[in-house]
Amino acid sequence: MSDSYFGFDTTMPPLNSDQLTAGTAEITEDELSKNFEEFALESGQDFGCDQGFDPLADQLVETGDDYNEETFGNDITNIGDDFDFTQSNAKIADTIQKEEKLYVDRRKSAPSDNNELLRQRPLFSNLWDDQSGGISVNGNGSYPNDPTNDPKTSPLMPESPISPSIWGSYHPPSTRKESLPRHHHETNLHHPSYENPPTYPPSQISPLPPGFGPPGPPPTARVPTLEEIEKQLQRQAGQSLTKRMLSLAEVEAALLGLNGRPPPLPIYGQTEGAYREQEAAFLEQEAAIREQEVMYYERERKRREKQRKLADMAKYNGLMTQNDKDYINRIQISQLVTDDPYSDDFYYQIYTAIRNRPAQPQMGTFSPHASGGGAMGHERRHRNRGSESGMLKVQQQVLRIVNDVRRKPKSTQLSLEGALGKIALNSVRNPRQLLQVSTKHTDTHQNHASPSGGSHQKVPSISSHGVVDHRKVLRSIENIYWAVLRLEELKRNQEREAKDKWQEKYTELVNKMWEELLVTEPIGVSFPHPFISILSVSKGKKVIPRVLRHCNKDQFTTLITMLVANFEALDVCKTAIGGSNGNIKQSILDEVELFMNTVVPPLLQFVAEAPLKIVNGLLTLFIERNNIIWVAKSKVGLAFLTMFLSRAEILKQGGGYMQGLPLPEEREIMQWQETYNRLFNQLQTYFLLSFPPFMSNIDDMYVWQFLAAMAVGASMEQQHILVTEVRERVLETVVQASRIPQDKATHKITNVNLFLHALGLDASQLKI
Amino acid sequence: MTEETTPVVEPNAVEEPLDLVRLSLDERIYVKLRGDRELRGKLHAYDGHLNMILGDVEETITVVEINEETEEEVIRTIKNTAEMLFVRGDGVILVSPPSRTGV
Repeated sequence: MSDSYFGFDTTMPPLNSDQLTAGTAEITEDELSKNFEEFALESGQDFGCDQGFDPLADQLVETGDDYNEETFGNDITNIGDDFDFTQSNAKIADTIQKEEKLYVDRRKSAPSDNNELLRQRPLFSNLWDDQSGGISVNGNGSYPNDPTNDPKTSPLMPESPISPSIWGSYHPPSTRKESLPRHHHETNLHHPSYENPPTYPPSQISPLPPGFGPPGPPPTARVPTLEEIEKQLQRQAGQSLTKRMLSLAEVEAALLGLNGRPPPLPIYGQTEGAYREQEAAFLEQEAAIREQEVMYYERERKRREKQRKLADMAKYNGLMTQNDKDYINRIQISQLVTDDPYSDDFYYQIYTAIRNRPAQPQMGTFSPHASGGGAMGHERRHRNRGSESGMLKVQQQVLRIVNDVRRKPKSTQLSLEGALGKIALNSVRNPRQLLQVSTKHTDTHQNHASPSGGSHQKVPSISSHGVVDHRKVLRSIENIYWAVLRLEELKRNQEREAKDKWQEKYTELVNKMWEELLVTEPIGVSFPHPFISILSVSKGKKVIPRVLRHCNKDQFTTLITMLVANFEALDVCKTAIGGSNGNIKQSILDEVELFMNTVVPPLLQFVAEAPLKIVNGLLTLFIERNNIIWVAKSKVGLAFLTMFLSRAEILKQGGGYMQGLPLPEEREIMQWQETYNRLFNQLQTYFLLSFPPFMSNIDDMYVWQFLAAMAVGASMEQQHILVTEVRERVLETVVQASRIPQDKATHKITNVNLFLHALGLDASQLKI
Repeated sequence: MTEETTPVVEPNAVEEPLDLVRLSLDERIYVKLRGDRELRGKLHAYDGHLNMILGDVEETITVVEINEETEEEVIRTIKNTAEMLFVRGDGVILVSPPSRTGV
């Protein structure tokens, strides 16, 4: 702020053009400043002005430049004269003047340039002429050696018509420089308070960020001058200059910014209130710093305390040897070691199996056969090589402990010599028992399991009216579960035991399970058949898929035969047939669902691989042993019929060839046809009864599937009968489908099409 | 043992009290607990301490409140339901298998 802005122009020419263009300066403005530079450079007289100015500035009493040295890095008084080209320039002043002449001549030869210059120069020459006249009061601005003080006296200039204006415009820098010091004096007079601003406690000055530095001399004092200039400029240049003037102010701002000083404009409007705001901000900052300090001390205190404690405890260091630690570890881990994770930690095992996570060889269930932990351990070792040795060590230790424990079986009792009683040893597997439950019954079950026990013993007691004791059925189911669980366990541990011994155990268990299923009980002794009773309990249904996994083909056949033979006694057939209103209790519907999901799939799979002979036999038995019209009203019954019919059809068409079955013999096909005709004749006129009530929400897809299966095997005549019977239902469904939402309608149509496609028709062909 | 000595006699389905609980597996049972609490739920698992895992449980707590002014006893029941419950055996007073109707 202490420098005039044209002073800047002359002393720092190279920086200008960039800065100016970077700002919002317009092209003309750019040119203008360039011209200024050029003029400044072109003549040594300009620098002469500088010489005259320098001592002036030194006399100034300036405030706010206390930090100039810091900012600019050197003492202003010792700047040196590297930059001071004027002295040398003065020596070559003649040469420069010649150059000037050359330059002017060149200008003349470039008319376009000249025009531009001509347009602009007069404005400035006038301006500066006026100013210099007014300002010369100061007296200090006189330059005795300056020949350009009076342009007209210059010996070189008169030749050129432009030169007066050049010199005119060239004047300003010097005059400006004269004027500025005066402004600064004014400034200081107007604002004496800034000499030592009371709002600034000295302590706060140091942490001030650069932007908040002590305010320079307020520019307010200078504004009038600028305004004057503006006015004059405007006066002379008219409207075209208004824009330029604004830009000039900006130029100055940019220049000041260049100097590393805060631009005056922001500070311009600052009042004491603003300073107070700053002060408040500083107080805040200070508070924050203090807070941080407090936190730091707190942390430090805690750290020291921790260290003190650690040091306190250090006297116990080394009290336990590694052996002691191992011993403690062994005591802890040995409690968790188990040979049989599936019974001791069943839920974890199942959970991990369900989650499809590889069972980790974790301590709790350190199963011996998994203790090879190979893949897992390897993987883990790969993951963090850093702790590789540590992991290995732990693994080895655990392995050793496990082996130790396995070598000496856990004793649950300890009898000391001479003591009268026994001391029970409690462990995590053998907690102190409050209730002693005899384990006798498991023994008895195992005795039962022996095939030699004779099956007559296990015939469920039949009360006088021939109803099987329900509790015996339940017990059979429990025994089946017991056997199944043992079988599954055996399968899991298959590779751990000798093959023949394992096979022996396995067969024994399968036999036991098979007996408990009560499938082979003679038909007719009790009603319902014990096997059917088992199937009538939901947990009995649930166990079937697990049972059938261990059954051989013969057992399968026997089982399905027994099921088919007593089909109508099944709860899912017997009770699941809706009355005229089709209301079936939800609990029964759940049972049907369960039966369809558990019992049917393995049987379906079996039938899907059966030869025609067996299918034929099963269907015959089905028809003979059951009231087929009745059975066909149940969902499960229809599912079975569909199963047989579609399998037979596949076999008839040679589908069994793919499964390695021989093509059905002619006789078998004949037999099948007979059976089919029997079925058809029985069901004739009753087909519609298979449907659930029309308006009910039950999905009747299974009925359409059955009808489709019937239709495929039917003769032309039979097909005709079939269509006649169910025509009504087909039409109703199609009509209904046209009135309900798209997705449901599509489903309905698809269902109908199941049947219609079997006849070579399609629902879209129907005319409603 | 009884089977071996008297092989002709059919074994009973229920030989000891806990057999009754065993046969009630996967069935809805009724459990009475200390603290005027009752549970109805499907028995998933049990052990010799009568610790039990129950599913779809309805808990009924009976609370007797005495009205301070009239000194009348007001009996209130609170019902809770739980999807799965572990019942600790030491609180069990009785376990009742589901009542059977018909077959």
